[in-house]
Amino acid sequence: MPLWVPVRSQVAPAACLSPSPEAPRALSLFSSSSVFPLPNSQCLVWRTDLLVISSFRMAEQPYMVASDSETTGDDKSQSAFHDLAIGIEVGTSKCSIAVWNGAQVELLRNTRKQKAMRSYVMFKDDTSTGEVPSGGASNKTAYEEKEILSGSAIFNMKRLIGRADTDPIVHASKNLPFVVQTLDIGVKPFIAALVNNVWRSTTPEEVLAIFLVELKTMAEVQLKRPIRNVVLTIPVSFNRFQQIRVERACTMAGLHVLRLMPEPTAVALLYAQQQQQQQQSLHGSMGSGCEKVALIFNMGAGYCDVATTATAGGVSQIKAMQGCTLGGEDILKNVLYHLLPNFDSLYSNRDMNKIRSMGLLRIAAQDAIHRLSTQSSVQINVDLGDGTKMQRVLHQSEFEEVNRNVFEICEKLIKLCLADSKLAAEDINDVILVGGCSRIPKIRSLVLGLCKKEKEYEGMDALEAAVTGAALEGAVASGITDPSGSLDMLTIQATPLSLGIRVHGGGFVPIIQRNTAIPARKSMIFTTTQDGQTEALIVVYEGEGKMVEENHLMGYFKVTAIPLAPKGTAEISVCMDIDAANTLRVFAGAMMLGTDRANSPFFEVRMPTLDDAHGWCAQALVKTHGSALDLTTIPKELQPQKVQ
Amino acid sequence: MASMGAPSGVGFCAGKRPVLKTKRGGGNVRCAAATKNLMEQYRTLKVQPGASEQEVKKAFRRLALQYHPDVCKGGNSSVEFHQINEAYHMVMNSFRRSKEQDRSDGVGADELTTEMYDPNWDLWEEWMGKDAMMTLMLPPCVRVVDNQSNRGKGREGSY
Repeated sequence: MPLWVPVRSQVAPAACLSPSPEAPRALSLFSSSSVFPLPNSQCLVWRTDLLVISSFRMAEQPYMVASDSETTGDDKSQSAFHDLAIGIEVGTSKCSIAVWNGAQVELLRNTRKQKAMRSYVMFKDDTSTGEVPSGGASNKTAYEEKEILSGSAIFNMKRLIGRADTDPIVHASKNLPFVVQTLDIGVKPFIAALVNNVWRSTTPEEVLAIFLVELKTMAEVQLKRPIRNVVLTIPVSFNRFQQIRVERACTMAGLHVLRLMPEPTAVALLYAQQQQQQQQSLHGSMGSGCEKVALIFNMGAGYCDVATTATAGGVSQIKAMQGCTLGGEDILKNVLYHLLPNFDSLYSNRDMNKIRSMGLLRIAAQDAIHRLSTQSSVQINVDLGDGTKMQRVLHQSEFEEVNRNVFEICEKLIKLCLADSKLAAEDINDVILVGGCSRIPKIRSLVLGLCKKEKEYEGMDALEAAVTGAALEGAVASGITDPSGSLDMLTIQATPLSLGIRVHGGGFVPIIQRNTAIPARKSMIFTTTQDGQTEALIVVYEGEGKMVEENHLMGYFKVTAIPLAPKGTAEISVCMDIDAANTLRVFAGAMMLGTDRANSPFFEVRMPTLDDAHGWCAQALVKTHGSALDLTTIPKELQPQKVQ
Repeated sequence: MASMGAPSGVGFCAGKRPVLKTKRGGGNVRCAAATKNLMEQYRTLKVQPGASEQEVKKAFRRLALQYHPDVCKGGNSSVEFHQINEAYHMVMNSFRRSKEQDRSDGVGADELTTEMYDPNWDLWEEWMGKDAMMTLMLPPCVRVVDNQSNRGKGREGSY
């Protein structure tokens, strides 16, 4: 293994220390083309895994990125697609990769010919090489679902990443076979996989990074070029913390995130392309055509998203988005608790037998749910191994009853999304249903009913639409053009959550409202709450709650050099800017009294600035500073009419 | 990601902002400013004032394919796309307002519809204790669901 030493020193520190995707030009090992073709992919997997693991152990080592030949001009043959970003969808349950091949989007398959690969990482102890975690995309071993549920594999990373241990989703994850421990103090949950009868700890980011390394390797082998740029799809409801965590996992894996794209917006881009092609074939080259409005409903194993899009001429405008953490996992949980009301007490102790029987029950329930999509009742026969056997029939009506809360939330999301986009059911031309759960009959009828449609939009694969859209975005954002014009398109994204600051009394004042088209830049003027106040705290939050504690704290900084003045007269300008890559920057500073000029240089802060335990930070700020540094709003008449 | 042109400090924030030191009731001033702004927005979108909704939409899409950072590489474009977004938003809102004005003749209603889609205005009304009025204006489903989603989001927390 001569290669592993340089790899480790190149990547590890950058990956660990910097959330910036710019940092590591990682895996420059591929710059020497002699690495291809790989005779032994196992060796590669081993190396890359080790790379990720070591990045954690060696965080304190100095930052060092080897920049010898890197990726500069050593493969001229593929210069056009050299930096082409690939699309990756890492689902809660399955994942897939797609890439623009010069004429269309193509989904990659693993050596088992699967386009949808199970998302998990198996931790196994191997005495010869040390720890060798390997993921579901791996081409060397195909683990059975039973093994995945044995406690040795971590899955559902997407549900866990970027969440605190006070989060109900983390608590709900405690019924998974691996260990999820919470202390309910607002810090990272502890997760661990069973290796040699020992619970070995890891983190959701680490698991995702290992998995991404494997996907990257697979894509590199197949595309015969190094992969650096990716467009990754994320759920609509991911806040900026969760996004940062995903970006960080990508960085650890040596990937640069070109875009994090909410899943339904990726679908919207694919829809825009299909509409464009349809209209071109109808009206020749008249591209701009008539506007079509679609509602996209996406529900997978972990998340449910709704979005509305208006598209014409290849441009898709996202009107509104709504999302929440709701998916097949919740449906499965409801069914498990229905089948076994004392599920929690039964599995509270984690011995091997219990874990095994829990896994068997999970598989049986999952299978029953799948079959209920086409049958009105299913027979469940499962031997739980510890002397208990479950034999019963599950009816569709029963299934729908135990999941009533899930369907109610879906309904609310759709209604809210329609209201946000100021659309009525009659305004919608197409209803697009994607994601695994969109196959559930009740969900189909619910969505179509709310949109007053007889049938759904055809021509999209429910499981491949998002990743296809991501690959299209990857091609567009990489600057690839297509002579036939099939890449002359664009999605104009919107912000799914409002962004604003805290004001006196703990209220939240949004500066950029949710569903604002991005790139966006908005500013507001605030004023002081104390006489002679010279400093003010700008505390930035994301969310929809009227009070700050209902929202997510992004960060804070102090504006200084406020001119001496009675309270309520000084003016502090706070401007928020979101660029096309969805990066949030906050600019703030005090104005000279009675003018529209800055009193001293403004501050520019990229958000979020916070990392750990931000719930505590908010409390600490209030405790230390009280309301001495508070700001408050000023009437609308005094707000700038137009921001340049 | 950091490559997307960082705006240069103060200039754009401070801007040339009309500081309207009139008290409430300076509605005329505000309207005048708004009208003038609307003209500028049409210009940003490169359409004639008075263009139809369809024309505005078309113009916006054309500009998007030209100036959106996803397709406009190099970062030295003269037009910043957020301004186009803003202009489009304001012009589309003006269409919506005029539609609603057509529907309602009452003076009170007129004032409501003029401002109801302006987020800042919503806030201002809240501070002024006009919650009741806002409550009447929103469709019921919005309020109910909104509360729900807020609770959810607040509780989930993040890390």
